[in-house]
Amino acid sequence: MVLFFSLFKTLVGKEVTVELKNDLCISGQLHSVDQYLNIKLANIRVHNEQKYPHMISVRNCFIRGSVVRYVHLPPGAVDVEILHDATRREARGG
Amino acid sequence: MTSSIAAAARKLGVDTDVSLTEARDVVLETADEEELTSKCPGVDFVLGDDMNAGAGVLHLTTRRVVWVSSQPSGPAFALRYQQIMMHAISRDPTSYAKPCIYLQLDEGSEDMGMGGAGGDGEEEEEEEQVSAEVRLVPAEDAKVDEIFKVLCDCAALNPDSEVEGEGDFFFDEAEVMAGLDPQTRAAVIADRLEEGMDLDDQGEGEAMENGTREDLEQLVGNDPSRFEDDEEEDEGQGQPDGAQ
Repeated sequence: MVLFFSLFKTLVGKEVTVELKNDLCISGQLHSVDQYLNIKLANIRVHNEQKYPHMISVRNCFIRGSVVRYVHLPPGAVDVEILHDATRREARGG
Repeated sequence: MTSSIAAAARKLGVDTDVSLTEARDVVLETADEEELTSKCPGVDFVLGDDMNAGAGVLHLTTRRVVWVSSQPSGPAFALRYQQIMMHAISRDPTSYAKPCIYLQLDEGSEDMGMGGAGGDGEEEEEEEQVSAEVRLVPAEDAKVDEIFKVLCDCAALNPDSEVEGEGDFFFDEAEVMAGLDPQTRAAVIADRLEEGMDLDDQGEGEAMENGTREDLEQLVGNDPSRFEDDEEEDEGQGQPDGAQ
């Protein structure tokens, strides 16, 4: 998991979309991440307002790492080749 | 009214059977190293859209978020941080009249792989499906920032158990392979063949490890049964350069 922690640290300040296990999708600026991949987002925008209308008013939030299904990254934010190599190395070395 | 809130809370996984002292303080689970981080009086507990349990004292411990009603015989609710999927500060008056902490709870249904549509099948049973949302509304607006921060800090102290490790990374193999460029895909497949060289049964045909196909054919020559297991007692096989 250290790999992803390092990866997300490089994305701090960038715009990401976090998809939770309950299908909630939140976009925002990545404010911070910790070793458990708990994520803090700033200036958030909720995508499925119909299901959670109250979230529209929320500006910043803290998302528990274990409920994240996907983190959608901005294109070009990550060097995919390097990430491929790193994950393969970790999978082998693990 | 409160009993229905307690019932609704229980359905969402909220602990409504909280141990309290005579003075209605929280009994800490010392075996679990639970410590009180902050105590904030004058906080309303609101479940779902509008089920307000009234004013109470919010106890934030290193293991739980506990709210105790100010009413002498009122309810007490406790949440473990593992249940809190997300928490945030809500300041928009159109969403809720006062600034408050908004929490979304994990009912666990998603983890069980039950329904992406989120509880459609359950609605018929009870009158309403209360959404798994809780608001903690302090009488003092300024308190929201402090409560938010404490929640962040304490949530970080309560990661999920270590059972979840590297090996729990699930992925759709077909999808991953499809997303690779041809060269990488070929390399991955080649890697797999190399690693998975567990020669079974006859051991012929797959023995690429120490040589090429031609080498094998040369060895087998005109006697395909050369490397097969002996049925009876025989001189034993001559296996060249440890193809196993």
